[in-house]
Amino acid sequence: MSDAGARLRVLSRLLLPGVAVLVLFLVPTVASILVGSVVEHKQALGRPTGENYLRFLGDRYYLGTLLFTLRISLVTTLCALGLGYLVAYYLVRSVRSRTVRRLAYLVVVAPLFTSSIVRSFGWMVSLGNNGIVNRTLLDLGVVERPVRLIFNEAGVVIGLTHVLLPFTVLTIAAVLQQIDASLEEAAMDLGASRLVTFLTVTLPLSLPGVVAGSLIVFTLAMSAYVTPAVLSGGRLKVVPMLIYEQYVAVYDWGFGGAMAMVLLTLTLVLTGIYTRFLRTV
Amino acid sequence: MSADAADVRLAHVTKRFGAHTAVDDVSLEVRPGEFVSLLGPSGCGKTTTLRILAGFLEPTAGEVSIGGQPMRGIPPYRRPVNMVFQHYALFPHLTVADNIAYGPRRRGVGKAEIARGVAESLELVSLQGLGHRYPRELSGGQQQRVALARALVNRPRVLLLDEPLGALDLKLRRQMQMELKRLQEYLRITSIYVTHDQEEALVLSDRIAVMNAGRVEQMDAARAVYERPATPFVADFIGQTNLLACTVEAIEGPRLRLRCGGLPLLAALPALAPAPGTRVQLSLRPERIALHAERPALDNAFRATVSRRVYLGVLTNFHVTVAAELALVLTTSDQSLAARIEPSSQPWIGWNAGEERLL
Repeated sequence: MSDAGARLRVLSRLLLPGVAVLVLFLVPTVASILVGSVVEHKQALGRPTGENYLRFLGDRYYLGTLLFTLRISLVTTLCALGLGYLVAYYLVRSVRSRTVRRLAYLVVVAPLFTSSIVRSFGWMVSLGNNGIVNRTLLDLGVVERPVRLIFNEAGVVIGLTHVLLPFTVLTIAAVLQQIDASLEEAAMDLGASRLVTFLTVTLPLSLPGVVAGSLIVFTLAMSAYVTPAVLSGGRLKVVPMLIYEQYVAVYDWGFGGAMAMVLLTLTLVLTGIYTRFLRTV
Repeated sequence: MSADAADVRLAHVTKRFGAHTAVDDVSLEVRPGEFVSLLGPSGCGKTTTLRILAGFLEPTAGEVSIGGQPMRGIPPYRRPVNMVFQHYALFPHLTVADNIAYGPRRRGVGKAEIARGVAESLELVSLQGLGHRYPRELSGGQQQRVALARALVNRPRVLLLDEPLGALDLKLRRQMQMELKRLQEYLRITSIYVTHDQEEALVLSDRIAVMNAGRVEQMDAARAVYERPATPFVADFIGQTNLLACTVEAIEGPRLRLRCGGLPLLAALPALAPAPGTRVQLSLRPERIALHAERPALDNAFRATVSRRVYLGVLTNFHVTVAAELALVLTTSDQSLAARIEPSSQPWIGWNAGEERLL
């Protein structure tokens, strides 16, 4: 159809500046990292080598860190999705006042306006043994002694979920807003209870938002550096921290580059499988 | 009518939204198998009434019963009704067959029976073989049929239709009207149809409830609503009419002498004769006024001035003024006569007493 063709032409023109910026800034840097990771650095023009990759993938410590990064990212994605869906659903369906809704969106995106260092230290104060969370739990008698929420995996997940929550809330809310309320009415009219209506109509129709949100959260969690570094107190390592060490402290750019490429490839492959899988559902 | 004879009964139903009263003390009954239209301008409360029946809204006051069962507190998913929505509300993520099977699945109907029901419903709306398509792959008219099939497959006690043809073009709309009528007569399903299109209501309905400002102004058979409107609103809303403000002057045998905007008129004496001096409204349909080249021998005959002639294909409308003060609209289907009567010419118009209706 010529109509669709015209749309495509307009769209591609609109996309052009963005694509140009990405190509200009991303391709040369990624290419140089890639090249740096597969050549020897002993002389000016090094010979190709897979040494860096073998070293990373053959070492239990490095592999363990990779798996740990993956696990933290997955758990964060699930937390951000669950929490984000609840918040988005509440904002779209329950909040009637426009002012309240705008204020709520502001609160949701607030973490993005704060420096990640300030935000992480804020969590350190709140999650510590004498922090507001533990004090509340103790005063309510929920626990008898402080729960360790900091300098461990839980703390990292809490911090990451907090900063990445806006991405799931906003993408899911945008999709929920688009769902015609009469579809839910039609489901109920045809005999579906509220829960069944949600499971058979609302949830499937909001999946595009769920997919978009989880992709953003997962990729950002995989590459997060500051939040895991501060909230784990340096006791836990994620791959971005290893990369940073190689580039800044050890000066082994080849090895750092190899780790970056593995992280990038793994993220791309996983998100690819995920989107492919959801498309077939 | 006893309570059991009615499939749907609304008793003094009122719905308020804050200070606004959307439905104001509406009482009506729909018999089994009957096709009733709720007709009125937008904001008259017809859709709100339908949504109360479907269970999406609870009435502020009054009682609703369906099939003899009181409906207060019963959620939409437990009511023996199904609705066809204004913009179809088909589930975009499900195929046509799955859309139709949605209701039976919720009721736990067996697989084989669902398949049979889906096939039957598709055939009923002449969409055989399109079950595997998605709603977006269908035309507006086809989507409309799917919406109808999705409701009918459940064999609801009452079918609710919320301006279901509103989004279709005129030709398709006429066609769907006939098809809907055929289906409804074939299935003998009690139907309540919301529309603002008076012609559609006349074509489809056994009875029409004309609504205005949250109230039912008149509920009657289509012919009665058109020919014997109970209120000025009904007379004006159903079809076109000339509404004249008149004063009763005298009773002359079987006739009533009126003065309408300075013009003396003769009207038939109604059963309840108004006393001289009473103010009445007179409704005179455009097609009841005849056009003549010479003075006609009719009870009411006047020389009129044509201010505008509107050609409508089958009919021609004339906007005329009588005695420079009374503006009337009249219609003729005699196109050769209409062609001879030019704007600003002065033909005779006339009608006999009894063609009008006093309100």
